[in-house]
Amino acid sequence: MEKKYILDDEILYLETLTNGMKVFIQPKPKFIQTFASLYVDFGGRDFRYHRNNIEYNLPRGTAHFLEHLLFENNGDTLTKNFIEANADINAFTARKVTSYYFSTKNQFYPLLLRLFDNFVDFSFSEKTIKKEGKIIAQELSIDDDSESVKAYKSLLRLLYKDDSIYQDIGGTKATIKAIDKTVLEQAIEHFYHPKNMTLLVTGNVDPVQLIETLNSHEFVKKTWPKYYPIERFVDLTDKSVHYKRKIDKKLETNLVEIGIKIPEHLFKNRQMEHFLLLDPFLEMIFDPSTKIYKTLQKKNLYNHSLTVTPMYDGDYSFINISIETKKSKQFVKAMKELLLEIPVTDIPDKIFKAFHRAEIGRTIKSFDDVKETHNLLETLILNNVDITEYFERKKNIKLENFNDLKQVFTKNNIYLVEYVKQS
Amino acid sequence: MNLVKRNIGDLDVYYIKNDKFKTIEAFFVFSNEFSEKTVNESTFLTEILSDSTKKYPSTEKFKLVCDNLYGLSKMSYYHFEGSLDITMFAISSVNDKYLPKKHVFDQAFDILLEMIYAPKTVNAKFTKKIVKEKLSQASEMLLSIKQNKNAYSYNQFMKAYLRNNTDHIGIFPNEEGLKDFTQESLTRVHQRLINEDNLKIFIAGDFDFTEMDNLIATKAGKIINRSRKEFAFKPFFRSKKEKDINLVIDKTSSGQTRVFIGYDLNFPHNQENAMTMALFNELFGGFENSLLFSNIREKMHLSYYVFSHYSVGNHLFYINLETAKENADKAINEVKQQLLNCQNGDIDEALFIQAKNNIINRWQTAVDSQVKTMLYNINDFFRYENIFDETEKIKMLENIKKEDLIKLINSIKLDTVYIYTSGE
Repeated sequence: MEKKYILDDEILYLETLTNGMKVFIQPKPKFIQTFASLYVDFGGRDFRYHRNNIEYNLPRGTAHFLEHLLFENNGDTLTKNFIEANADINAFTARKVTSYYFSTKNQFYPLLLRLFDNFVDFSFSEKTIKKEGKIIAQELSIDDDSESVKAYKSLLRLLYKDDSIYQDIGGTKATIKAIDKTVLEQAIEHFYHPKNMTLLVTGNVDPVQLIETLNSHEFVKKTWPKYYPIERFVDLTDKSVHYKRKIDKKLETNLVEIGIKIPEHLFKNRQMEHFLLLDPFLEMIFDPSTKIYKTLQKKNLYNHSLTVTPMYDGDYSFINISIETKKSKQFVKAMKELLLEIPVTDIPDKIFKAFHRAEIGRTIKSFDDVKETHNLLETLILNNVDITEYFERKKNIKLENFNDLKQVFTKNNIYLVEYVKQS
Repeated sequence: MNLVKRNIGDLDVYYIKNDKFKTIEAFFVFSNEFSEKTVNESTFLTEILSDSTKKYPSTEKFKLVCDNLYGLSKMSYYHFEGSLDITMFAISSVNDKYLPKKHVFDQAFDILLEMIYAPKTVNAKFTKKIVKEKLSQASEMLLSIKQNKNAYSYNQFMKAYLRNNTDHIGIFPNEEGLKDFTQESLTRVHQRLINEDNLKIFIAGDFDFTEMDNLIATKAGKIINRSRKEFAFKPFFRSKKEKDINLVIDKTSSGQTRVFIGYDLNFPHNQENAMTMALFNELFGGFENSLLFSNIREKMHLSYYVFSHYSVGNHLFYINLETAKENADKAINEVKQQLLNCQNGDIDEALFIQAKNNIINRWQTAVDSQVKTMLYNINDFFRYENIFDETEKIKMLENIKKEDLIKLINSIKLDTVYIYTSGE
């Protein structure tokens, strides 16, 4: 087993099992809880992909549907054993990944084995498929309900041609109707293979015992069919329309969604660097010390709903600025001007030094809570970032490393959606 | 992790010592009688005070000093519980033991004191500019709330549910109260906070008691007004015996139907009853195997979200669900039926035990978070004048019999049904 130091007293263990699944373990012996997440590299984007040089399709929402069904695999309810042991179990499907996770203070190893029972063979009754379809239809109605979600989705459509970026992860009520046993079998065969899975465990565990436990399970002992890696292609070519305005009588106030598209050369094959720089860059650019913040404050255009979020999903990246404001016209004008000034604006040295020092504290704090540690490691794993290298390189970021990111703020990269209240 | 009381002059100081965490958390908790008229001032005050101080008069300067203290985190929060206004200010600082520089916590503690006791003012008043800024933000916030169907329907439900308790509606921003929000009102509430509120200090982490005593005596002892007046916690909900159920149907929605069902608890608020009610809430609609979840979501497919909520501090109990318009009546009837079944004694033994275990598990795992441990202690301190004694609480919970629970929930009466739906 590979052993790497993240901090002086924080160790990460890495192992690849004989069936090909990668395992990351971060022991936290002082804590009573343990968190485990099993990631399957299968998400909302996988309705069109290549495998062994053949193009395949799946109905939109298949990954999410399967996530629901896995809780009822082989006619058994997965949650039952976990609830009995007072453990919390849940799952989520994102664009790139399906994650099954649990946390417990008791019976960690038996529960881990129980989780893996679900990934050896698969069988769902028609009744279960129908039942989950109804529950998912309810879930999909919730998203349809929010004007701000609609505005954000409009922005994604404006930014990208590729529907694997903007289509709903859960599909639509129509697409999920097409999900049947044949579809599910295809999805399982292509994606639910140990070589397409990763396990992360953080908490009160012994790495050696954990690996031994996994090795004793049929999931590892079983002879798996040959795995063919999945290939995906994303179209990131620019779109000519950069602005969408909608007048909506349902609104109480205006919604503004701005997207600043990050060119592919800044993140393709540079995941580590992009991941390291994007967050701190935004923190410093929208810091209260910067012209952006001060100008918005001065013009009375700042309010609680303003958010600035880095979006990075491995195969596309943009910066999202979002606000609900009755002064949307003034906000958009001011924000555009401010964004276009970023390429020629310097980040003050005192801000950068203070940021560096704050990062030392924040890193220590992120390992002070087992759940937070687990979430941090999860983000790094899901973005294919080498965890130990990440913390080492984080210490050595220089101000000039941000120069490329500053240059993304051009007219050509800025996209804007405005939902305006009908007066 | 036990709470230890210290005698430092007249100050009420409590330590939670442990060597598990690499941070030290310090909480200043102020309490006073609840006033619905100053909810805006109290809430905005927590924002204003944590944004700048006299010494660091801009957001920029204040952030810079905190970043330089290895990312010192500040937290400030106002809420009300029953008869009490509670305002908290807290810092989380990396323990000097893990840093290359020493005396970081000393400086962090200074920041906390400056934040509360030395705000940025002009002629001893908060500025016109800050009042204008907050009023503008409040007006934007009111529109955002109206646009957010969950927030809007919750606020409207609370107004309907608390119609007989209008002196106890603490929804922020309080639109009505904004016209009275001025430099003077803000300054007055700040003065009340530092001079009249009861103050308790809680510190958790790995530190030497004597050194911490000295630090507090030297730094805080000089500036803190030692208000000794204790404000006792009382739940506030007053029921008025009304013949009919308060049914409110709001047809202005354009989406899913949201339903809130509020109950009048009709039993005295004490620690034992509160624990029994919390147990009922857990089994009724508190988790994925609860009665509402298993029946309304899993069996009847009426709703994706369905939960019950019990507010211990405010003595309120309500159900919240989202459903298609045509299923609303069916879902409401099922909630009523499930409650009736429980009142008639139909509660599965395994579910009863499971609900107990869930609560115990939540208490036990709190020790993995220093902040959570601290908040559990603070809550129990205010509600029951007791420290959070896990063993005692578990014993108390385990002693609750099904008959006790059934007897208690038989006093529950349906009070308000609020439906936010479309007019089509």
